[in-house]
Amino acid sequence: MNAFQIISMSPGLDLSGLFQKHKMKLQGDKMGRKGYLSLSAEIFEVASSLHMVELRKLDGDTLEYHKFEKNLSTGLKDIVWLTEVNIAKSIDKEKQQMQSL
Amino acid sequence: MGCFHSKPIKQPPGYEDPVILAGETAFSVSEVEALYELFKKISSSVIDDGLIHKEEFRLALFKNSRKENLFADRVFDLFDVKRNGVIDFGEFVRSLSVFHPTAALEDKIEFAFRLYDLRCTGYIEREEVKQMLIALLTESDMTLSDEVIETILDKTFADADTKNDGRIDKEEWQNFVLRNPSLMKNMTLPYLKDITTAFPSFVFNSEVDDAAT
Repeated sequence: MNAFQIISMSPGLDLSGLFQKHKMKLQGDKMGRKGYLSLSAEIFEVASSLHMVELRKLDGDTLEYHKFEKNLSTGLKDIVWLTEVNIAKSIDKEKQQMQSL
Repeated sequence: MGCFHSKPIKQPPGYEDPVILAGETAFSVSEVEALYELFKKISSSVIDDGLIHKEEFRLALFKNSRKENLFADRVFDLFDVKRNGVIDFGEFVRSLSVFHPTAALEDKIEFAFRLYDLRCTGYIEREEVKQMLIALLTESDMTLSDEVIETILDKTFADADTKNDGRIDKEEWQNFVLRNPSLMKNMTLPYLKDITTAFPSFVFNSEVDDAAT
């Protein structure tokens, strides 16, 4: 290994951080079935009054993650317009309606 | 008679015409406009004067305006072409252009050379490499014995310093990079290709017709 390979590992030389706006890593404080649940949240400002939040599981049990997502969207239901689950459900509903025609 | 501007359009300090910048860099006009959205964000985060100060650069990079980092400081100094202690929009775009996936490899190699030439002597000296190596270890909370550090330096210089004069010149650096292309990975930001979706600047901001870009 040469010195420059080591040096280039510095986060000070990784400018991708300039573009990572509003990205956060969140971690659960209780040990779950597959370790601590950890996820990343990235916030996009689509318009001044409309933000999109993209959640991704990084670590931990998938079922626990889905449970977390459900709790979160229930808790935020007054300010959340749509979640992936809602969108999937409304697509299914439309399909069913078309099939019954 | 004839047309005249009743008042010159007041631009914020450090602003530069996107059409000119697009002509001189790897970016399209829309991409320069998107970069302006990012620039405005970074340059207003601590001191709202249309210029990026060192604390604002650190804040953008580390989410911490007080984090001291040798390498980030070197990047800041290289972006600050006019050496006036701040990065204006033109310097921001021209410097980032080097990191574009389509930018010339020679430009990336040259930028990295100047980055590592800490004292700007035109050579990367062994002492400078040692200083950077120690800085990296310190910031990563790692320690290596002086013996190991010297061994790493010996190996690096045996590989790079083909003229055997204790320092790496531009030509040696170029050859060294061509033999070790992974050294240039920090010099490309693939994200720059998607900049218009990440930082949309709406149609009414555009100075130029889409057809013209």
